[in-house]
Amino acid sequence: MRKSNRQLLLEWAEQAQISTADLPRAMRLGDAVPSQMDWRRFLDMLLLGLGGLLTVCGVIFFFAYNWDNLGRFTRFLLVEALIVISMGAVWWLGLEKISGRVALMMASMFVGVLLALIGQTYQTGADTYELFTVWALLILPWTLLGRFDGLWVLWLLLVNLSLVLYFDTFGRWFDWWSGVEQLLWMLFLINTCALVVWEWVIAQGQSRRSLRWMTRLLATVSCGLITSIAILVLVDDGWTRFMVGIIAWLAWMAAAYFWYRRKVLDVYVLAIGVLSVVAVLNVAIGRMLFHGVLDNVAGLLIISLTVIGFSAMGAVWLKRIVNEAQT
Amino acid sequence: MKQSSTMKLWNTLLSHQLVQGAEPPETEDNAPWYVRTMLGIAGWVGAIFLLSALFSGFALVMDSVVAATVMGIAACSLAVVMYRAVKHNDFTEQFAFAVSLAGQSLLIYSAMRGLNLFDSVKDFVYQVRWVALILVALHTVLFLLVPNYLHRVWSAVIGVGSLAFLSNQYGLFPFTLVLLMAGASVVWLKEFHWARFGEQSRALGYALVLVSVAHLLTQNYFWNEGHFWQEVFGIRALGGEWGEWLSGLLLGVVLVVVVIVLLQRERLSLSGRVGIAAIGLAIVFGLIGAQAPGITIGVTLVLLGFAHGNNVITGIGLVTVVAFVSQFYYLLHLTLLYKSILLFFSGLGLLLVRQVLHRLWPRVEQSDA
Repeated sequence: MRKSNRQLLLEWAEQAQISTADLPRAMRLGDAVPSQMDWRRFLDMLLLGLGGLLTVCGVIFFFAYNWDNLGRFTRFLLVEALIVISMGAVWWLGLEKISGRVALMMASMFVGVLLALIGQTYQTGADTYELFTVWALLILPWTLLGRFDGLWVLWLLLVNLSLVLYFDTFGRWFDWWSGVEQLLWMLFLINTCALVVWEWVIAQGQSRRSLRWMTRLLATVSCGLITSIAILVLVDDGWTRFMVGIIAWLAWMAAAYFWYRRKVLDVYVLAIGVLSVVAVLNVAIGRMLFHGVLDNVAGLLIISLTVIGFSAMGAVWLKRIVNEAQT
Repeated sequence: MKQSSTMKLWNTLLSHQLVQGAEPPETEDNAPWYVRTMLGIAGWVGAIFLLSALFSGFALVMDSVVAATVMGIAACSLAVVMYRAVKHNDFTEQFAFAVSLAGQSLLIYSAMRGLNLFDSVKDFVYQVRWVALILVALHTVLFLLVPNYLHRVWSAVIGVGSLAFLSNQYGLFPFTLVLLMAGASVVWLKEFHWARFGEQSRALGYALVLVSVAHLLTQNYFWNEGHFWQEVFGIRALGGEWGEWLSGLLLGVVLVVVVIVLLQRERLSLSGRVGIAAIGLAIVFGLIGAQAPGITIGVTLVLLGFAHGNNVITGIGLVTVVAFVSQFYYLLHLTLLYKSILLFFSGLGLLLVRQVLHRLWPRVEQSDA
């Protein structure tokens, strides 16, 4: 992970190695700014993505308006027609083209609109979590066929939402853990599984290795959840829960270190790992300090120094890794 | 590997006579944006604890405005000295950041106490304006004195945010966002021109972008389309309803100007086929943005970021569009039916424009594969 040409050129300009008048030309020579062909590709993607997003949102808003002048059959006809048109576009364009995949994503969104319309029209009395669960189940075959990252994110979002809404309705599954903790564990397991599967998929073919945003999104969610669990078990009482939570957190950190440091370097994931370590260690220290070992002032001062110290140590380590990668 | 690619770039520049001599040594500051963000978050948390320790330990600080002011100035000065004396030491920089944040908080606390902000609500508006003015002055000084990128971004965000607050306070309410976006566009378009002061200009550029996005999302949602300013501060929006509509259009003007500048950079004629198409498209986005300003702002940021190879700004632009569209649902100034028509036909229009572009520029088709 060397510095980008853009970074290097800006640095050299700041050091007066390149005159500011020549910098735009240097940027072009270093491919640090887009060529006309890059602009064409970019505009193409922007128009496709934005056009698709606004169209789908327009449809969702329209059905949320619940227009009285429109009969129920007309409404169903409209949504079903949109699904058919989108699938027709998928068939016509093919899933190899990005436009075909965007059409598939639009069709998946319209399925959600159709389910919401069924609930709105027939007052089925179904809980909200059921809507999202059925939606996720119905679009799963398309998601598997589409092999489109955006669609996978939508599917995962629906699964996460279903769980959150389920726990919001029923509170818990078992009696021995609080609902919040159960929810955090469930979300952690699902998102960590997604991360592992994603890493396995990209390990099979290097072509998708450049899509770092997906890895980073999943790692951020997974790390955020296990950090929340570790902090929760640290501030709460209960030895078994404490052990399970801390061991899981340690296992996540060790696995992340092994994979993203030793196998596939990703400093972003290591950085969120460092932030997690800083947070968990300081909560642990805070718990010890504010249980009578020290008084408030000294405790606060120590915590401020440990937060600063651990994060600075983490930064030194991360910068060393960046340096190593550059050489 | 690094040597070869960096040297290759240097040699390319040498062969085009853009540089002279040997390749300069690389600077040590190689932290990516997420490492800086991690440090910023940790420094901020550290500062909260440091400040809490100060308030808990020194009751005098809580009671005396003078003591809080003196300690605040001392902490900020200490931070400046630490930053200037010790460079490229992460622990010192992180500690200096926390000390500076604690000092800033003490100074603002003392200003609030000095202005009796906690005791009297009578002159609330007048006092809050003073606090914002003090923040602008304090962060301008810190921005200039502290030679650290993370701190400069922080100072610029607070300084620009306070200026935006003052702009709203003095009646420019609907147009503050236009001013912020115009400022952000100028700073980013001039990035290469001001490269000698790159750290300062980029810090200011990021601050203008972040405050613009924060202003957009808060004014619409949390502050109920500007009613917050009217109800809490008794401020009337400049131009009334027309003012808000006009500001939406002016955001479109900013976008059109950005597109014109980018076309000129590419040496494309404004009256040529591509020029007319690009300006036409920008006008379409501007018109959509008259009722949905988040779309214009997001697209402007995406263009600015892409034009300069800055993925962070491009990412912020995309997130702004998505966040705004999801927020747009809850805004009450238009009915859901009107909003749905606006979005649906805008979306279809953009997809149609894409098809037209395929006809005009056939090579785009290759990227679709």
